[in-house]
Amino acid sequence: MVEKLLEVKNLYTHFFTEQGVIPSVNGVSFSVNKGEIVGIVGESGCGKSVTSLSILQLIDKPGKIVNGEVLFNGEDLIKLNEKQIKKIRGNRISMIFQEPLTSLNPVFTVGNQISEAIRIHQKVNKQQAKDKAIEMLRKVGIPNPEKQYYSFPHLLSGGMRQRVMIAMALSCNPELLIADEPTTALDVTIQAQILSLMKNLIEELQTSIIIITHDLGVVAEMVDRVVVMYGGEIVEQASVYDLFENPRHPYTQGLLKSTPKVHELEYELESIDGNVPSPDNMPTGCKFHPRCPFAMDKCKEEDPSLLSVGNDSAIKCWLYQDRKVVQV
Amino acid sequence: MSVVEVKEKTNNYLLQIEGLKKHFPVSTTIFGKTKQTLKAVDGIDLYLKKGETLGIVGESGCGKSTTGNTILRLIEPTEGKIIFEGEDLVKLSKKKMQEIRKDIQMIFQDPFSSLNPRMKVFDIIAEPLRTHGVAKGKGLEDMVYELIETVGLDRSLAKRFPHEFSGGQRQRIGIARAIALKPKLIICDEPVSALDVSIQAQILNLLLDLQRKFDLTFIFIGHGIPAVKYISDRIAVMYMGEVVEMTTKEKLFSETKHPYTKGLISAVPIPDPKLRDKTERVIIENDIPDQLNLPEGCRFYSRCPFGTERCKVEKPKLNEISNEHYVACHYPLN
Repeated sequence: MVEKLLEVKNLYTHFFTEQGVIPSVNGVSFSVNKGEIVGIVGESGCGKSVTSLSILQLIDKPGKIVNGEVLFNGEDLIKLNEKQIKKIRGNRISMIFQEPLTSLNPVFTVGNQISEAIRIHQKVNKQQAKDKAIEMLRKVGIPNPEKQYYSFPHLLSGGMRQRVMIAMALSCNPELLIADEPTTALDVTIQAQILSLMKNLIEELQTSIIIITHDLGVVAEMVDRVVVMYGGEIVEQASVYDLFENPRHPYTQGLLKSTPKVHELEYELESIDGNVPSPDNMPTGCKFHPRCPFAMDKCKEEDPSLLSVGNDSAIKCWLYQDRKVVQV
Repeated sequence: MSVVEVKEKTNNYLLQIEGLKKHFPVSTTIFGKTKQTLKAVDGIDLYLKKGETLGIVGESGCGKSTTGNTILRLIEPTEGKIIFEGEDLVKLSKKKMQEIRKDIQMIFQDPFSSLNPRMKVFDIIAEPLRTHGVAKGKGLEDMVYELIETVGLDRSLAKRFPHEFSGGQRQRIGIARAIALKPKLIICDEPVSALDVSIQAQILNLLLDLQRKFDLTFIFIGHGIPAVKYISDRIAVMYMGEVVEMTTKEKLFSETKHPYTKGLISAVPIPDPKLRDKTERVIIENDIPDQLNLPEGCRFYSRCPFGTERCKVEKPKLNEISNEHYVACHYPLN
């Protein structure tokens, strides 16, 4: 029996702006098992980052979680007060972001920032925190960690900064790491270093991970299970092998066909017609229908629901709704 | 036209770049005393045949965009020749250069900052036609509407402002403007890097269609190797201001000669989970060295798994090791 570490149930996060309500995340449900790596993939504005920020209650005004549960080991994080959630943030669930330069404080040394994180969550003295920070820096492959402990963030390269972020995120042995586009800002050779580092550390520390990315290559390389988002909703969920082998949703199919391939020479790249919808102007019915090659009249009016199609897979599309399936 | 045919008619080169350098002065003290130079582009040779697409690929700071900007003399080169249709652009007066820009156009990465927010789409596309006095009145109008449709936009959108468009649509507007004057060469500087995956494919295919339709020659600058591979006929790989390998895309991927190219290609994640454990991966260690203190020998030495004493002291030159395959390495891979 697999143990569920995190269960997001029917999450709605909306932004109440002067121009009106922007429904960024609309009824998202998925779970992360212990030791599992889940990838959330989608294009800009699909709600993947807002979903991850909602898990840790990091949504600022005018945004608000209007409905849903985020069960972490059975405990609903949404019901926690600020003091309680702080005990979880950076300790049992930690997060790394796309741009490590803006997530590090420029006026403190990197060592200082890592030991601060350790001292907030663990009962250790200064020296122990420092030792642990140096150990973490060594673990993430920073050369000469005793010296680099005293470096300021701006002196490090992008790849090194992301290593520092990973060291900090993993310093309290979190049960869950949320990585929001962790390698998007990095050059491809540095991305390969960071991905391989993450893989090794996950294996060593047994951390569950949510990777948020737009890069299907990163998904194929890293994750066990994929959640595909479009227009603030989940449109497909499947194991990584299943998804790439047998993509069911027309959007997933289009996404795979429009991804340029480094390992193929002659092939026709297909694209998805139309434009990525913006959250403040979503189409009616199925959000993908204006771009969908299989769109029927029904798709324009009625929104399909996310239904389980067995094998731990689920899909939100009218093409699959008449099957004997169970609602997720 | 096959590669061999072109090779025989060497004067079929549309563009030839010889020993191109661009050094930027960098002051290191607040008094600006000890001046150092950043060698963004440091002596590169490239050639471009009519009707082909040359991809220039490399990581940030390798000088690929500077190269693109120098060709149009948007940045003045420090040294070298840029021979376009037999004429050295570096020696041209400003006025003559202005005329040449009719034949060489550019498409930029960020469709949000490269379009004037105060101009309507119609005027953005009409501007080059007006500036170069190509058309006016009804003729101009017809041309602009035709261009709008050529790039896959609806003509009803002509009177709108750029902010009303998505990234992909804006890039289409930028492309319409670039092809307006029927240029011979278009320099595409990371034209799809800022776009979503599904939109990237639209723009890449649009560029390919336009190339066939109007017989265009492209320089396609990018850091995304799969996209560069898809669109290019030949590819030049740059590292720290230099070209380290240049050949046809077939050879670059099947007969990779430079260890950096090898590492670069193998670093790209493959969108197929079945291959995740099967592919042998060469991970290039370390970061790019300090660009203000360039090493004396091969610039890739500090990261190269095969580096020797010779590489440390002697700089490899770009040599043609087989037909149209150029490599700058003392010990090319087999």
